[in-house]
Amino acid sequence: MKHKTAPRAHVTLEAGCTLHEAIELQFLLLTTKCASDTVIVDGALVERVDTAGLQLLVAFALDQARAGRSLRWSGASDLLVRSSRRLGLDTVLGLAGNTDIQVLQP
Amino acid sequence: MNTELDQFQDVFIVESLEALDAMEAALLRLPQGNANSDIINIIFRVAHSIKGAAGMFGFTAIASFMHTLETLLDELRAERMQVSAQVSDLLLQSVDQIRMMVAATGKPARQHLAPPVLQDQIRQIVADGSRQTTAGQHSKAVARREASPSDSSRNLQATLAAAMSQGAVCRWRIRFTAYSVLLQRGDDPLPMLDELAGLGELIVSADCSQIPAVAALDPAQIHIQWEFLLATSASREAICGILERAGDAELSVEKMEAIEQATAPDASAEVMYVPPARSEVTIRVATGKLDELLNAVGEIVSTHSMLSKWATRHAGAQADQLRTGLSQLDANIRELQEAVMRVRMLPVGSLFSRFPRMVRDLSRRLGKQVRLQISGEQTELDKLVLEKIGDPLVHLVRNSVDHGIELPDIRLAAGKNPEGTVRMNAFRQGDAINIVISDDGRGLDKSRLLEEAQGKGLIDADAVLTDQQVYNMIFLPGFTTANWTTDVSGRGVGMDVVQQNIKELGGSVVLSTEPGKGTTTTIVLPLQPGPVDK
Repeated sequence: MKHKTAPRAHVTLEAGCTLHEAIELQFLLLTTKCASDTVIVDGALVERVDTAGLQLLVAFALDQARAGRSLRWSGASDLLVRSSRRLGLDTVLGLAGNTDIQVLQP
Repeated sequence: MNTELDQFQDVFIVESLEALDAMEAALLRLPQGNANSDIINIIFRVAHSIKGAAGMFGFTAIASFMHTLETLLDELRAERMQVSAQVSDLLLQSVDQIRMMVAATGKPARQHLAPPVLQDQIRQIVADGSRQTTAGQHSKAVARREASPSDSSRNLQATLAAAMSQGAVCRWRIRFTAYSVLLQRGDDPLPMLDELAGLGELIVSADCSQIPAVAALDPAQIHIQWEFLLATSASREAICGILERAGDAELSVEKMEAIEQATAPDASAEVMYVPPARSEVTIRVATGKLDELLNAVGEIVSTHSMLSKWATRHAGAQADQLRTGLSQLDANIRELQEAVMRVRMLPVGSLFSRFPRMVRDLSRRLGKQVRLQISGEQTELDKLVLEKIGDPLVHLVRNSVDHGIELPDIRLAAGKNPEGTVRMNAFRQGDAINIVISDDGRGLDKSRLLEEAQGKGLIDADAVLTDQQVYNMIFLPGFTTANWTTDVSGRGVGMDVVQQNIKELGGSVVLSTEPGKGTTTTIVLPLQPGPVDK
């Protein structure tokens, strides 16, 4: 008998993760449905970041943690990694010291 | 837009244009190669301030342009890119572009504030620079992640020890809690932390416990509280200078022990952040208001004069008392007059500052090497006089670069440094202000001047003139030797107009020259200018 595994949720971030695009980002994060214990986020395309955008991502990561799910990154732009570290948010986002992430230039 | 916001917008325009002047001056000092961190930080601060203000007023095209520019500056600051001639040109062109965009905000039609082509060029140069360094960056990114705050505590001592070797390093603990309006007004802690990191080694710790769920989060409000550990040789003022911009925040800056003293931090040493004391508090006043004040003083002088005449026609004890009072009033009025005149005085540096860019652009266009030396910037002149001498100075400096300084190979052949020098100096001498423009170029060609003057019938062929008389002919109207007239901003201003403008201010122009050695033009202006057309 074949076991059907629950699909992993994938979130692909757009180029902009800033206050200007916050509504779209918030909508994207709110509509991410996840039946498994892992959410995979692709941040390879991110080329604009500010504190508001990163705070939304942290809120999302905390939401997932409260629901017992973990956050994994399939890719993260250098800007995303660098900015999250600068703001001290890389650990909570799971971007600190994670060598599995494919770090890409935006 | 309501009137109140219009007033703020006017302030935005004025302050942004001033900030752009500072940015341009810093850019002109930016050496090629790895970016000088002090200079790049100044440029970054200006760019960030304009971006924030533009965002607040809804000038999204400007905010977006500044954001792109910040990306390039960030690359330079992190030394992922180097300052090349191309980058330098692009940055200076950006200043011009932003000036136009800022100036356009005061005009009714804002639709022409579309993102400029230059913005794409900046993106392109950043992308090109990034591609060139991608391989190196990948390993650096991993290394940086390894040094993230989670591991930072064990690396801190080593980091601080490394920083210590570069100077008297102290540790600072900074607590930062942003008020909700910080983001709304277009400001962002992220670039501010980049600047802090530029001062030394920065360890950032964020408290995210107050962040609500995504569904309940207002993205425009910050719910994160930060604590920074900064190891730097920079002063408290330098640190506060960066933090000060985040006016909508709770801040505490605590100096911990100097690195040399491995003692525990003294909790009692904590002080609430107090903005650095300024040596001089200034306010911005429209010149129209100063003119009103000056006019009011003039009215008082007239009334005083009328009362004095009346008092001289009367005798007796009461008239004596009145005369005594009027005498005192006369002294007070003089003080008031002088005080108002002093308020109108501005350092000549505010005018000189426009010349480095002009000389750079002009010399590059002409294929010349020209160094501009400026001194006496603090010498003060009446604002109106300063405005009036702008064009004459432009003309004189252009003449020096265009016609005075020779091409590098000609200078070399003449045994000169291939790089010519143009000097601008201002100083007070007695009751006069002298502004001196000099160059070490070829000097005036006396025979050519004579030939031109004779050709125009200005002098007879057998006229006997002193050298000075010959040189002074360049101030004659219509004197247009190929060597000594140029167009100034396309307006065809000649040396006669230069002299006329200076004479209108009650001043004079003196020219001296030595063939092969250079030319010096001295503008002498009275300390107290006479009435001039406003």
